Amino acid sequence: MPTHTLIALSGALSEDSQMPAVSVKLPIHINFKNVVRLNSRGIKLWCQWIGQFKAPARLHFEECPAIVVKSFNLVKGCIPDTAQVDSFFVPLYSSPTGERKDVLVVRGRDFDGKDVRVPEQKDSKGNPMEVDVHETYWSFLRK
Amino acid sequence: MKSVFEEYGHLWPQDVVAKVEPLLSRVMVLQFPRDKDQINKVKPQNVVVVTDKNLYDGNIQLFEVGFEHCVQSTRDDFANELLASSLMALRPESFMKDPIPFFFNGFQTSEMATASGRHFKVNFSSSGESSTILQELEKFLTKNNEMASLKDICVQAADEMISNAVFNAPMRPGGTRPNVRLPRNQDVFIPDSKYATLFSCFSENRVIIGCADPFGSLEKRPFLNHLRSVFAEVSASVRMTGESAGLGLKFLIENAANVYVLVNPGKQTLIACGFLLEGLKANAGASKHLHFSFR
Repeated sequence: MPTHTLIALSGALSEDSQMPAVSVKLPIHINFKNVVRLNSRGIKLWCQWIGQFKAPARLHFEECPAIVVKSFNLVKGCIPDTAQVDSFFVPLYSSPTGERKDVLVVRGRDFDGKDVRVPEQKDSKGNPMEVDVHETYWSFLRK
Repeated sequence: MKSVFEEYGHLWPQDVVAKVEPLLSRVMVLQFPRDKDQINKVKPQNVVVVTDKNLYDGNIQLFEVGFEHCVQSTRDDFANELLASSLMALRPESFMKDPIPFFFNGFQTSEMATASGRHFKVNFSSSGESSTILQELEKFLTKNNEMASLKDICVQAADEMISNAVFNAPMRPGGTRPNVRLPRNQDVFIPDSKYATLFSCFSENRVIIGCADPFGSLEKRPFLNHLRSVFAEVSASVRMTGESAGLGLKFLIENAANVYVLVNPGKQTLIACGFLLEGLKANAGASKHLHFSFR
């Protein structure tokens, strides 16, 4: 028996995106790992599409890249009440080398509610990397 | 009120001050909120506002009464931006013609930037070119680690600028905007064989993403009203009527450290963002240097 419906998004979330028609009988897992870019027209399309999933629909967002988290935080309705973020990427930065690394944090393992534990990372020279987000990055966790 | 030279002349090295003193003496400084009683008493042109306030706590009103350059006193690059702002205030037409020297404090010309491989520039005339241009920009932004770390927000900024230049900016002499109601997923052309230009350039400290269109149709009042609506709260609402989402400006300002919107009415609009090469947090958390000029 299938346990959920998986939607894997890829490419740019933009005005050209095609969003699928989905039954809400099973929980819907939306994976963002391969979303490489998004823009304001894509956000509008997203809000129109995601807004159709009212309770009792259950949505799970997985592997949200930093640009998705940043943009969703800035726009009302991107993460509806019926949705839960199960995993997302946190960017880390090394001042000495300028390198960036995006680390996946997973609900239950790395965060629960508001507290997020980001696994330590080192840059290519062995320097510790710092979490590179403004405090507003976590605001979706407070919803 | 004092001039920039009188108030801040000590911030720059002697050799620089010697060169720019005549210019800095002609630009006045308004400290906000300290000098707020002066706001309606001075002519805002040739004034740079120095402040520690941001869009969420009250500096939109400064632009509404006509000030054009709002520089953040708490930023490490305050002195550089103050100098650039002073030059912009005195020579807005020079900025519109060749903005790169202003982004880099007057010490680097666009020719130098091009010669050093630090300059990306592409003309475009349709929305169908967007995807290819953004891929090329992405390649340019991988020239060093610091820029690559900002690639996603820089490309997003460029994407919004291209869309604005194709759909919102074009205006016919009678004031109609032929593209504004066209679906965003169609390949739409800038009318009358005109074109816009997307550019990027970088220094040791920052990368600029900018776009110039040949219409100069962005109007001050609607622009500032929109700014007020999208900065009333941290989370903005999507515009559900019409084709535009109404979020591009919000994304630009929230993600960048510096924002430049300069309009020569009927001739050109130049929109640009400056990103500090210090990671995402430095930009998102920065008090924004803002430059909005409509003359």
